[in-house]
This record gives sequence, C-alpha cells and structure tokens, in this order.
Amino acid sequence: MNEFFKHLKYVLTENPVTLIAGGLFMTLVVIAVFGPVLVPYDPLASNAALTLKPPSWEHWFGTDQLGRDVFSRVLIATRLDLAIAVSAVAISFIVGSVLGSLAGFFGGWTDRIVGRLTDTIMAFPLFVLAMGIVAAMGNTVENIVYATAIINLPFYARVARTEVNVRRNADFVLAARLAGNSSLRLLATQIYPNMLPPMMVQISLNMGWAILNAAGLSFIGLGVRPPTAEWGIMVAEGAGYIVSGEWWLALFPGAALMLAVFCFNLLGDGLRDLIDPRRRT
Amino acid sequence: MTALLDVRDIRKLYALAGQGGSGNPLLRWVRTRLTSAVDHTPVLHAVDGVSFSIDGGESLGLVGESGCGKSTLVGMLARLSDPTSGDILFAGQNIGTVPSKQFHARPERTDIQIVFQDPHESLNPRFTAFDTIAEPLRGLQGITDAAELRRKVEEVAVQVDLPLQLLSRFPHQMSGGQKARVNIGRAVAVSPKLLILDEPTSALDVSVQAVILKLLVRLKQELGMSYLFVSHDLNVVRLLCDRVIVMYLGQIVESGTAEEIFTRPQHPYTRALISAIPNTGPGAVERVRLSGDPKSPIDPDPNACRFHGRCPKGEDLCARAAPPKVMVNATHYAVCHFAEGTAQDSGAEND
Amino acid sequence: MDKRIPVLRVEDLDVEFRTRSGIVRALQNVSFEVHRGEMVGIVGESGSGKSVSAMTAMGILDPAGQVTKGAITLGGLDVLNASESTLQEMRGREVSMIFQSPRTALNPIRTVGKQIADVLRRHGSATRQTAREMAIKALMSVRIPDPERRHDAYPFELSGGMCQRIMIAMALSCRPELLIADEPTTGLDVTTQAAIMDLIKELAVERNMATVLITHDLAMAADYCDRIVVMHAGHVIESAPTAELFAAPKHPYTAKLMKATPRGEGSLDDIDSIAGSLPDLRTELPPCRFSARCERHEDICDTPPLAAQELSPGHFVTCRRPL
Repeated sequence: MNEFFKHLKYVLTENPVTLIAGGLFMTLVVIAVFGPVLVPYDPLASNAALTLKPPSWEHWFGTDQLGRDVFSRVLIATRLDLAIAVSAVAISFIVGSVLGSLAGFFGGWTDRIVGRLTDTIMAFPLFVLAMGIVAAMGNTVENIVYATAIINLPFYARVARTEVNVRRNADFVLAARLAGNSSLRLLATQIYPNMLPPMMVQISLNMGWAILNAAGLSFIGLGVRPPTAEWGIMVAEGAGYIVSGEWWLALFPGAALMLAVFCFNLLGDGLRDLIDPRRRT
Repeated sequence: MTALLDVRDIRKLYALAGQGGSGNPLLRWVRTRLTSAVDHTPVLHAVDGVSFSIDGGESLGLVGESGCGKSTLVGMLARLSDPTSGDILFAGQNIGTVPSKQFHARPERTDIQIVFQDPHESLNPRFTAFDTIAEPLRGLQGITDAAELRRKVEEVAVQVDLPLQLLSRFPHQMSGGQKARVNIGRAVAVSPKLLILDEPTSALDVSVQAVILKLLVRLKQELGMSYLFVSHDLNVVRLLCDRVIVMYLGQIVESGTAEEIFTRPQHPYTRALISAIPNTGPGAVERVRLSGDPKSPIDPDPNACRFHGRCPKGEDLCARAAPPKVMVNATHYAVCHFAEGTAQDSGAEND
Repeated sequence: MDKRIPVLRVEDLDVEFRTRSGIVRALQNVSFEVHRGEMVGIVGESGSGKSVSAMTAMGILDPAGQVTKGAITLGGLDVLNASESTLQEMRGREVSMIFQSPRTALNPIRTVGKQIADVLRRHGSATRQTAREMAIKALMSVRIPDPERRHDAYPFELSGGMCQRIMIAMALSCRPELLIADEPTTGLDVTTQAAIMDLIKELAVERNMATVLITHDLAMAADYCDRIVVMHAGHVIESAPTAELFAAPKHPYTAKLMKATPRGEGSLDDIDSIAGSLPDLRTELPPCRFSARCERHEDICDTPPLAAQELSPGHFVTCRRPL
C-alpha cells in the first residue's frame, strides 16, 4: 500500500494540472459527503419574506423565488449530481467494457451482435431515449441513471473492443495461454487489466458528460423534480429570471456544473498515470 | 525409439476473401450471378506439407526468411492454433486433433513451451517478474499455497541466474538481459520436454547474447529438454543446433545436420542464405545474389518450384515440375531438381 | 594522412539530455570525420550514443537534448550555429538519412512515387510536370523491378526490403554528399540485408558519396566499411581502418566485442559475454566509462584527462592501458 501512496504523491506533484484537478475533486467529494452538515440553511426551507434577494453576506449566492438559500442548494445538489454521474458511468463502463471485450476477443457472432446493439443505441439521441424510458417505466431518478448509462455504453464497448483486438495476439497473451489459461481467463486476467489505463481517460471525460446529461434531462423536467436541489433544475428554474435581472439563480448552479465538468476533464490524465505501472519510475 | 515430436505433412491454409469483393456470401452470390466473375476463393498456403521429427535431447534449428511460415508452424506445434491437415505426434500421442482452445487443460500443455522473441512484448506490463514466473506454476501445476509458490519461483530464478531482488520489478524496470531471463524462467518453470525458442537473442545486445546462449545450453542439459530453435542468425544456429531445417514459402527445402547444412548446402536458397552471412575472417564465401521478392503464397502452382524466378539456377524444368525430395545421404536431403543424391518417390536419378 | 577536407567533421562533441530523473550526459568528447567516397561505420551497443551523434549532425536532436560543447561541420556549414531554415535546406540536399523500420518511416497513405516526388520538388530538382518521370528514374537507380508500376504502389503493398530501397531512393534523389544510414537493415532477412547493403555500397562508390553506417553488427560493418568508429556509453573509444581494427584491436572493449560476436566456426565456448552493464549516465562517472567492467583497470585509468591517442596512422584509441 505504501508503494501506492508513494506513486500517488509522485503523480500529483509531477503535473500541476493533476494537482489542481485532484484538489478540486477532493473538494467536490467532501461537499457531496458532508453536504447536509456544511449548509448554513435548510435547502428546502422556503421563506416568503426573503424571495429573490441578491447575493449578500447572509446569503452568499442570494435567494431564489421561494426564498431558499441558493448557496445551500448548490452545495447539497453536489451529492445528487455526483451520485447520478458516478452510477451512470459505473454501469456504463462495466457493462460496456465487458461486452466490448467479449466482442473484440471472440469475434464472429459475438462481435456482430454487440455491434448491432451498439449501433441501435447510437441511433437514439439521449433525450429521446430518456423520454421513452420515462414514459415506459416512470419518471424517477433511477430511470434517468439507466438512460444515461445506456447512452454511454457504446462509447466503452468500442474502446474496449479495439484495445482487446490489438492485444489479443500479443506475445504475452500467447505466453499466458501456454501457462494453462483458458480463453476467458486470458481475457479477464491478462488483457482486461491492461486496457484500463486508456479507459481511465475515457471514464473521467464521461463523468463530465454524465453530469451534463443529468442536468440537461432535469432541465426539461425528466428525472429530478422540484423541490429537489439539483444543478440542472436550478438552472432551468433560474433561466426565466435572468431577463428580469435576477442573474444569481442560474449563474451559481451553472458555474458549479462547469467546475465539476472541468475538474473531471483534467483528472483524466492523472487517473491514467495513477494506474499505469509504466508511469512508475 | 519414438521421436519426441513427430510432425507429419502438416498444413495451414487460409481461405481469403474473394478477389476484390468481400467474404459476404450474399454479395458473392450477387457477383457471381450478375457478372462473369468466377467464384474462386484464393487460399493462402502458409505452411504446406511440412514433415520432420525431433528426438529427446536434440536441438533442431529452423531457418527461413519472414513469410516462410516459421511463425505459423511454431503456433501449430505449440497448439496455439489448429492445423488445417496433418498430424502432430508428441511422445506417441496425436495432439494435433485436440482443438487449440481446449489444449490448455491437457497434460501435454506442460510439456511444450515457448520462449518468445521480443522480451518487451512477451511480458505483461502489469505483472512483476514474480507474477510472470508464477503464472505457469499456478495454471499448470496447480500450486496455490503462497509459501510454496514463492519457494518454487525463487528456485526458477536461481536456475536462470536472475537476482532474487528483481522478482518484484516490472518489465520496464529491467534490462534486456534480465527480461530475457524472466522469459526463459517462465518457460522452463514447469520443466517442459520440448522448448521452442523463437529468436530468443535477436533483441539483445551482443554483449549479453553469449551468456544467455550458454544459459540455454546449460538448462537443456539440466532439464533434459529438446529444443526447436527458430532464428535468422545463422551463426547462432550453427553453434547451438544438432540439425537444421530450412523453410521457404511454407515448405522445407533442405534438412540435415548443422555441419552438412553449413558446409555442403545443396539447395540454392540455403546457399544464398549462408553466403549472405557477414564474414569477418578471410576466405569469405562468394555472395549468391537473389533477385526480387519471394512469390506469393496465395494459390501457388503445385507443378512448379516455388523458388523459381529468384533462384540463380532456374531452368525450364523448374517451372514445369515440382522438385523432388533428393536424399544426399541418410541424414541430409534437399528439395531441388539439381541436388546431388537419390530422388525419393520419383524413381529416376537426378544429377 | 588524409589531408582532404572531410564532408562531416564532429569535434569534441558533448550532448546532455534533461530528464525527470536527472541530466543524462549522453555524449562526451565525441570526435570523428568522414571523407568523400568513404564509408565509416559507427558501431556500438544500445545506449552507446551512436544514433544521438547522427541526429545531432543532422540538427534533429530531440528538444530535451542540448549540445554543451563541440563543433559539427558539414560540407563547410557550422551545423550547431545554423538557423533552422538553413538546416532544412541542407537536409535532403547535402545530407540525407535513412532509418530502421522503413515501412514505418514511409507515409502509409501516400504512394511511394509521390513521396519520392515530394523530396525532389522540395529541393527544386523537379517540377510538377517532371516529378513522375524523375521519381521513376530514382526507383530504377535503386534497382526496383517494374518501376512504372511500383511508382503507384502504397508502402503496405511492398516488402520490407523494397521499402528500404524506396527510402534509399528518396534519400539519394537530390544527390547528397553524405548519407547517414541508421541501422538500415535491422529487422530485415539475412538475404535482404545483404542486398540492401550491397546497393548502398554500390551507390556510394558510383557517386563518390560519403556514408556513415550506424550499426550494432560488427560483422556487417567489417564487410562494408572502410573505417570503423567504436562507441561505448557516449564515448568514442577506438577508431581505425577496418582491416587494422580487426587484425589488432587496441581497446579492451573492442576486443571483448569481437569475442562476443558469434562467428561461423568454433563452439559456444569461444564466445564470451561482457561482464557488467552500461553505467548510469546520470551519475558522476570516471574519465573512462568502461572502467567498471574492464579487467585491465588500474588507478591511472581514473586520473583525468583521458584523451584519444593516435597509436598508428589513422588508429585512435581512448585508453590509458591499450592492448
């Protein structure tokens, strides 16, 4: 474990960008975990007397149309947005990469079936698919997670398929076969782990998109519903007030969104460096 | 005495997608119905009728240029791929009939191992040297106890002169010679009877080559193995091998003891190969120049010599009839119309 | 003593690389010369600095590398102080280079004929109208059969040997004075190796061109080169005319290198490895970088300065206790 922390320290200090991204990421995680404890006000408590107040010392981000503290809502929304993004990406990654690996390794019919599956998924825009799922199975946050996961699946399947294809005939894989491994064991223990470093970059980029997806869907009323605090919904509700001059309702959640996506994009390289043993000196 | 490995008329043929079209059966049907194109699938003859044997404790060299089929042949012998036809008999058992995907579970898997060419490519970048050597011990000898595994891996490391502290290193932290030792260690860990060496020293610096070659010789004696030594470095083959076979475009063109092949080569291709070896001493062999590239291995003419066109000796006969196998003596044969010896199967004597 | 002006002269060259783990002193006091019509072999193992020397001479040293001392003169031009545009004019016209793995050095999506034409047009030797004809002529000069058809072939359709011939055609199309060949035959079959080296030698003689052959194969250098420069860990440790070098090597490393190279005759006992390994070029090193591995090492070897001595005409050794 010591080795790991030494390497972690090396990765963080070697590239300042990784350090910044790492710091930002840790901040987001802390806020997500400790949100309820950190908020100065109850994010759901409305106060008719304090509606639409601009940012001030009492309310750093101002208040919204129901008198709720925007700062508290932005903080608490971190948990929901991250949870949605992480679960969607996790499902997407696991299912997609396994399907893609099987397709790339075994070829033939497996490849054709997985190929047609991913083609079908790619034919749908996210919003159409989400609306379809919501209509069929109900408007819940869970279903939005599934919709986002499905939409991103082809992404991983394709990368996995290529990476596996490239490595399938590498000498070290043949050598492992000589050591008594069956095809499936080869795929699981030799090829799949080697595929992870390039996937890391994909995963972190995807996290950014997943957050935007979730926000976009709730913007159009799917998934998350009021009064739940979520960045996308807050931007949607706040959009109408920009014209009348109450800019803070939409700006702060929007900025939070931007910061989160930014953080994940920057994190990609760092994550890859972390898990690729070749980066260790 | 039964030979350890007996390869009989082994072939590997690949059907390629139709000329200019795809392998899609629907498209092929359309093409043949609507155009005057002939429905013919070209076949690539990667290995075309190879037969040889290796006895216990013997070291056989396999020589040939890229594209001659040596890698395909090695793949089949190690049962990583299946032959299209022909038999592979190992210690009397026909292992050619076992599908390659299931061979990993057979007891013979332990007996045939390969040392791969490029130590960089043949080591999993995420595995330490320990993991790499432990893999066959876990997979083939079923050793699960951690202490015993460590003991055995260290035993192997000592046997291949790999310093024990290197066992925890990753491939990118080791030198070429060290990686070569891990490669060899992994292959001999289960004491195979036949070790196939695919250019084991060609990626190494010359200063390290000698010690690795000597290690291989020592291991062969200690573990009583037979070697199939595939290499393009003819000097090394001469030093290490008892017998040599020369391949060209999927077929064996000459076979004999190392001495015979290097001092009295009968096939023009073998002569060209030997004359091409750079020579530092006096009395250099006169260079035999080959023109052009080898013929295509796709749909070769069964009634012609495949070396014709590049051969300095080519005559009409070579384009009209496939050359016979000519026995120069009991241990040495060459497949050429002009080899000196007794032709087999043809009845007539060739000069 | 050769009094002609050399085509390439490298004098006392020092090159350093700045890396994450320290400064690598890749080359130290490297000096050699190449004259017109001469083929000089730079022989060394991996890490000896032979490729770095060639890249520096062409002005294509990696940006992390820095020349800290020395001079390189190429056909009268001071390479180290020349501007990038002057160097670009020079490359392809006065000096050319061919590399290992010819297929990867060629553009996979452009026909080989067009690639040769690109070089010709860049240096004004051909116009759009004459390009095809000149490219076909270039293909003929490297003995490629059926050049009109091959002109329109893509690199993947050609064998390794053919691709190397194409590279040679491209390199020689503008008739440079100097050709640098960096491991041109590694990875090719023995028969193809011989054919390519024969071709290079023939063309060099025909055009009275200076050639530098960089290789780890001592035997191949012996067959083709007039002079051999032996490098070890960034130093030139010996240089001499070929016959003299093989008859009587003076540096212990050269002798050991010869002993490690398998020859046709003899047994495995006749070849020996060289003990030890390359020193870490990031650390402070003694004047002779071979001392840790040398049986003849004595205290005097650690006393700076260590300069090349000329033991006999044209035969230079950098050693305190030559054989």
